[in-house]
Order: sequence, then C-alpha cells, then structure tokens
Amino acid sequence: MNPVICENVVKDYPLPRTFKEFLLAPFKEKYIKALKGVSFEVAQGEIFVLIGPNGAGKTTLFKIIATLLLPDKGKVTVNGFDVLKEESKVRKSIGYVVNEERSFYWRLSGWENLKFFAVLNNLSGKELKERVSQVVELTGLGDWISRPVKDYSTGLRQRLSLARGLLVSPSLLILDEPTRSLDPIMAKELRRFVKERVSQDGLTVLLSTHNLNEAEEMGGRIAIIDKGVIKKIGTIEEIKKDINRKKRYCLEFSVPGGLSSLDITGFSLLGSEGGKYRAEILISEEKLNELLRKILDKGGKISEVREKELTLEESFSRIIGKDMSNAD
Amino acid sequence: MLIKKALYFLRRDFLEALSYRFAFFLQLGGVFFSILTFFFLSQLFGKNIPLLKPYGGNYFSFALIGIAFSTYLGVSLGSFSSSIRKEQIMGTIESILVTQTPIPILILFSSLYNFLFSSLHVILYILIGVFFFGVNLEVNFSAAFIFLFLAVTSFASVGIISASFIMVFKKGDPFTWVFSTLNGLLGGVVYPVKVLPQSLQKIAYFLPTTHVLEGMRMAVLKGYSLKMLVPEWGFLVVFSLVMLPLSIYLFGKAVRKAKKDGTLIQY
Repeated sequence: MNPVICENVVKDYPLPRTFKEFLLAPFKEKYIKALKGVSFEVAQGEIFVLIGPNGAGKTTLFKIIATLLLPDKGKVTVNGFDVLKEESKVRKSIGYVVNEERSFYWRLSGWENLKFFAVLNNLSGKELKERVSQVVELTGLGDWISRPVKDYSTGLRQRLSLARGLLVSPSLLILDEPTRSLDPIMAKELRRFVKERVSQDGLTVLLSTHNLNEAEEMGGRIAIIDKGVIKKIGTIEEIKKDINRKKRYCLEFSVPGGLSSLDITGFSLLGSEGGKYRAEILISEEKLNELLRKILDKGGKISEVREKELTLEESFSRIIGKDMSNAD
Repeated sequence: MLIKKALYFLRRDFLEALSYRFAFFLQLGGVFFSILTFFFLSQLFGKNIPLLKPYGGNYFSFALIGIAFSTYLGVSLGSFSSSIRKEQIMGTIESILVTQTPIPILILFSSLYNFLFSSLHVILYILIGVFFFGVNLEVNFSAAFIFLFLAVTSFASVGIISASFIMVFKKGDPFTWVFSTLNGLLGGVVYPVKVLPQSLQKIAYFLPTTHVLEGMRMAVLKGYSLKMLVPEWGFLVVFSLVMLPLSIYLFGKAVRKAKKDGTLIQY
C-alpha cells in the first residue's frame, strides 16, 4: 500500500458573514472551496512535489494529511491509517515541517525546544538524548543548539524545524514550503539534505512550493494544483511533454512591408537590423507553417527557424492560466 | 511517560517565566502588598466580628484564606484558555497538536505551571500571614489537602469549558465572565456568604467557590476534619464528577470544530 493515498478530498472553509446576511438568513452558511475533489497517491521513497500559486490549497491538503484539519469529504490514508479515525497512528509515522518561524518557544534554546517536542512524541531517556543529538548533527545546527531560538536566523530556524520533523524517525516527511524564506544557498542546501534523506533513509517526502526551480530540482513527481484542483500530475518531462502541443520558436526573417503586413499577434520581437527581424513566438506547428508560408508569399526570406524548449515556468503558467514569471 | 511529559511542560514554562526575571519576582512581591491592604482593612473591624465567629472572629485571617485560595479560581478559569491563546499567538499550537500527545493531556499540562505557581502564591500568602501578621492556624492537613484537590478539579472543569469557547470563538468568553463575577460577588472571598440577602445566598450555594472557601477556612483556621465538612466536599465531588467529563467532552468538540473550520491557529 502506498504511504499516502488521497481520494476525492473536498474541503470548504466557512466564510464570515455580514450582520445583514446573518439577519436575513441566520442558518445559511457561506463557504469558500479550498479543495475540490483532490486525488493522488505517493509511493514509498518518492519525492512528491505539490506546486501551485498562493491560495491553491497546498497547505490545506498537507494539514489534512497531518491530521490538523478535517476533510469534508473523501478519504485520506497515511501509511495505511485513516486520518479521521486513526489520528494518533498517523501522527506516529509523520514528520511535519511547518514553514512558521514562530512555531518554537523563542526564549528557550534549540536544545530545550527539541527535547520538549521529543517528549511530546513519546521519546524518553537514552533514546531521547540520542535522537536529539542525531537530528542536531544531521541538520548541522552545531553550537547554535544551546542558544535561545530568538537569536537564530531564519535559516537556522528552518533547520531546527527540519530537526523537529525528523525527531520521530518518520517514514513520511511533510514539508510545507520549506524554503519560502531562505536565501538561495540555504534553500539549495535544504533540498540537498532532503534528497539525501530520501536516498539514504528511504523516506517518502511530500513537499509544497510555489518555486518552480525547486520543484524541478527535487526531481520527483509533481502535482500542479490551482484553486483546489489538481491540474496535472507527472514527472517534469511528462508535464512539459503533455502540454507542449504549442511550442516556442525563434525566427529570423525579413519581409517587405514590415511586420505589420503579416498581421500576427503574440510574438516577442527580440531585435531588428537592416530589415531583418528576430522574434520569439508561442505557436502550434500548423500555425507556424501558415506563418512561414505567409512570409514567403509576401516575398520575404526566412534565415532561421529554431524550436525552443518550454521552461517549467511557462508550462506551469499555461496549465494554471496565470503568468508565473514574477513568482520566486 | 505522563509524569515525564508533565515535568517537561513545567520545565518549559518555568524556563520561559524565568527568562522574564523582573516580572517573575515582581509577581511574588505583589503578594506581600496585597496582604498588607487587607491587614490595614482588618484594623477597621476589630478582632471579634460576630458573623466571623465560626472562623475565629478575625477578619484578616478570614480574608487571607479567601484571597489565597480564590487565586486557584482565577488560574483555573483563565489558565486553560490563556494557554491555548498563548500557543495560538506564539504560533506553536500546530506543532504541539501534531505530536503524539493527546489533546486533553496537552491542555492539562499546559496549565500545570500556573497551578504550581498559584500554590506558591498560596503558601506565600499563608506564610506571610503567619509570620508577619500573627495569623493563628489550626490546620487539619488531610482535609486541607482534599479541599485543595477538589478546588482544582471543580475550578479546572469550568476553566476547560472556558477554553472551549476560546478555541471556537477566540475571544469574548461569556462563561468565564459570568462565573468569575458571580464567584467574586457571592462566593464568600472577602466577606462571608451570610451577609448576603437570602435569595443571593441560595445562588451562592450552587457555586463551587462557596464550598471550597468554607471547607478550606474550617480546615485551616479551625482544624475541622473531613467528617465535619461532608456537605462542602460532597458538593464539590458531585460538581467535579459532572463538570469534568462534560468539560473534556465539550473541549474535544471545540477542537473538532476548529479543525473542521480551519481556525485552529487563528486568534
């Protein structure tokens, strides 16, 4: 059985009502749909990346898997345990790494924090000391561990969060936007660490992000989620291939009468020199042939036609229908 | 494991409290001045007040026990809900809820330090009363201990219901407001219930504070045994037996509602 199975998960959040709405219909609740029938499975030892813009439903889904939220409909099992009926068994096998800097007791040392969370996870005695030392070493917290958490940088707090997530020796590690507030070097280091845990300890990893490069670098399967719906699931190559019916082409051509005579839209002009144009265009193969014919019919010349691979960012933008070029 | 968990909660809260050293010692210092106020007030009344005869006739010792043990009521009413609110504000609530410790244990242990600190307050109140202001005690320790235990269980159940309100509504808990106002007014903290009109005395009978303070005063000031205080501890046992399971049930419901609405971390 796969460690994570989500079947048709639905989650609605109640919305606050205005006083007028309450008076007119006291029992009529208003809801916002956070998840609209999400289904997927994650295999043992897999890195599964959930990628989507803010408000897509990533955190909601992770919180349901971590037993912090109840789904309205559908079924979620973690390592064979139902999140609704066997909460404590689910929690025993997961490490949940929240991207919340304030999820620690800031006036206590990292060491005290880890010991406290270890005890809450039923570790004690020698096992507790050994496990805390192990995760401190694994995450490279070093001497910082004896300093109060309030003195930590964001990166150190994220490492501490990771250390806490690993305390229970989980078989499933859930990382909710773990690199959101990290600098690129720290983020890369964290990704390397997580991949190492997967290859060395056989961990299954569920990771959410809105960073496309991160999703690509993690190298596992990707699920693109938007507005509570999973739009695509597959490897990066599969996702790109699946939506690559339209391709990006680089053209170099000249045409008497200039570009306006071609009557085309949706291209980016990269430059022009001596009546020669260099442009990029996102277009299907048939449409490209039409365009090329038009150029030749108008007495123009084509010096270069080159296919350019779509970036994951472009693929992602096309799937969710938004421009993600500004997303980090 | 439970004891270990309790100790780690105490350790966490003690270390946190100690990190605010000034506030920590200031709180303890406040006890002395609070007693001083009632000592001067008692000088107005003299030493043999007829209404206080059952308790020895001295207003100062009557008020001392009332104030000391009513701190448990304050802690019980506020501690559970404030612990939840504190974890919500600090952002640690999800981190502790995702651990393998059941929610009722988390809530109970989160308030343990406050109860212990209140006990320190009570001891300080009594020690200062005895050594600085000459209060005479005739303590029946076993009865006092049982009343202390019943005070905690009775007040805690009310506190847990209050925490359920906080879990769902975040702020504005009417239960605590009504309960603490009624207990302050009618529970016999700084004046005996007998000074109240008959109708209010009837209401006072149904408040746990009335019975906790009556039993505690008799056990600590007059050395009464449990046998002599059956009505008081009997009421508290029944109150605890009904209210404690009810409060835990309501709290479980409140957590489920917060998990359903996605408001667990909201404050």
